[in-house]
Amino acid sequence: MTANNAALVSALVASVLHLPESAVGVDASMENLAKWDSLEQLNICLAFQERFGVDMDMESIASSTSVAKLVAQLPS
Amino acid sequence: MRTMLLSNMNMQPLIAFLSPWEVTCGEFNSILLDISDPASPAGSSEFSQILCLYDSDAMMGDALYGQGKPEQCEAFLAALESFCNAHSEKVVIANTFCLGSARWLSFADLLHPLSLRAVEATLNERLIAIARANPNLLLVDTELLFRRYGEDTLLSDAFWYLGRIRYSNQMFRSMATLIHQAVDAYANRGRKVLILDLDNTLWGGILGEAGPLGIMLSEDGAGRCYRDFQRAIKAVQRAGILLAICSKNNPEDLDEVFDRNSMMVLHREDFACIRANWEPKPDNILNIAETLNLGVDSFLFIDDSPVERELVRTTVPGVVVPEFPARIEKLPAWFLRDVVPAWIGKYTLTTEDQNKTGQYRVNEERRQLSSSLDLDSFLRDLKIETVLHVDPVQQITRIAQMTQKSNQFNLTTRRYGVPEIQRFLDSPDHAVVLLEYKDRFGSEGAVGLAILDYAEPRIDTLLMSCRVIGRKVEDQILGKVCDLFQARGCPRITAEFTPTGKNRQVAAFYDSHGFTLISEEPDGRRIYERIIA
Repeated sequence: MTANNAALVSALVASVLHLPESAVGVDASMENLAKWDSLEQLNICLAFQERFGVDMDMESIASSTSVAKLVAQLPS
Repeated sequence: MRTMLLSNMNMQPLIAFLSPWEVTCGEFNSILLDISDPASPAGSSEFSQILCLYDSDAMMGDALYGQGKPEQCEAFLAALESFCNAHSEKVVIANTFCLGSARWLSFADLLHPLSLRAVEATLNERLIAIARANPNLLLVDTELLFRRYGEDTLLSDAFWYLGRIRYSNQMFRSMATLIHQAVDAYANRGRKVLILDLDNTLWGGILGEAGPLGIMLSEDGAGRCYRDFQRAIKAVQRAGILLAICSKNNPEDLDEVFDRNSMMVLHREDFACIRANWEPKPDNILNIAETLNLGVDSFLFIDDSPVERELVRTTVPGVVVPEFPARIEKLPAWFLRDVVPAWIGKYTLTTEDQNKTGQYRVNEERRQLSSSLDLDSFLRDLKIETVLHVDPVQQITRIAQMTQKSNQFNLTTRRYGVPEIQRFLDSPDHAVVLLEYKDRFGSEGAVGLAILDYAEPRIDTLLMSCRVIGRKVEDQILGKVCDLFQARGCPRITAEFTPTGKNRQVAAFYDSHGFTLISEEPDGRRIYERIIA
């Protein structure tokens, strides 16, 4: 289930960043992906909210800077 | 065509949804500066379209909390007005003022002198007055989106405070759709004819089984869904959309419904064309096209049957065939909120729009008269009266509409928007000639148009509405055109015919009207000249 979510989230990140899905692994984050900057962080979270129906607060938008942290926002 | 987007919020996420438009964002939060500074990029000729999308709450400043006047809003309105005036060549698109539901006055907001509701209404009144005076300003009512989906869905407080992004992705998506649709309506790219099925579409049940009084159509209960749907259809008909029926039914059964069922909102005379028979629907649709003298690419077809929809989609590809709602209680709102804005929405109504069906029905009577007489006695008997106007500024919307919609009798098929027509009207080197028509059956309104370019000198545009083709009034507009060129001292004029696949019937128009062919291009374009001195 979680592995599946991680794949969905990394695919979403790839589409927001206009990267091929293969370029965004489940371990991708703002630290290891040059295109993932603070402006794209907002775009990723906007798309994430719409795609998964999650209402993120300011703190989680600011801190969910990796695929893993985004997956953690999803209800288990 | 390039678009510049000005705002007081971070609208970057909207750009992807506005595709295929090429959109450039102005500086962050500099909408006021960008439209008031003559040197700003918004004024450059690079951009033909300027989007002014602002958040009303933010623009209110402290006035949102009852402190002072909404000065920024007022400054914005003044700047918008001057910008529209100074740039009649650009289309400016702005949203209406729409304040959020947070009210510092709470319950007192309705009656208090500082009522936000009243402030909002005043601002919108001024905005609408500016749009009335400037046809190049296109207003988009974003409040409709808030009414439909709600602030909780469309606004995004966390993103607002983090990065000045005011909206959720759903809002960006819906807003882009609304803007695209409004621009299509503004440019008159809508469909002209709504073709309707009958059983389980205009009423519930099967007429052949339930009988004319047994069909589901009533003021109460589920039958009300269909009656309200009919009310909505009648409303778009009054706004200039032609209606037609294409249905598998016995024509006598339908006659009985029209004659006896008092719950019908739509009557026989509301339809420009009725095809109730057992022929395949694609054949009937082609037949309607022939009868109305319109292409199938101006048709919108509504039918509850997925089989018929698929058949029409695949065999008559120009016709738009939307899906049908799965639940009948959605029918009226689906039609007015989803179908009309997407395909048959209008931004302004002309007098011609409001009597469209009448004009087509009268044409039917004229056709009957013509079949009993030869052409000359028929034309004499019609008692045609025409009036020619030169540069009729107040008809600007209709003029643009005619260049967008005329296909058959259109020598060059140049499509113009209101801003371009405004330029022709203002320019001393151009003249716009409009022909109005009436006969003993009624008035057709403005049906002929010519645009003259004195500088070359040449006829840029010559077109007639297909409703009056064959009544020889084209000779009168051409006569007027030649008179105007002569009065300007032009010894010879040129004119051209550009083939489009739809205007074959006027291929030889200039040959038979005293013009000489001087060249023919490989793409079929023909250039003519005529000596008028």
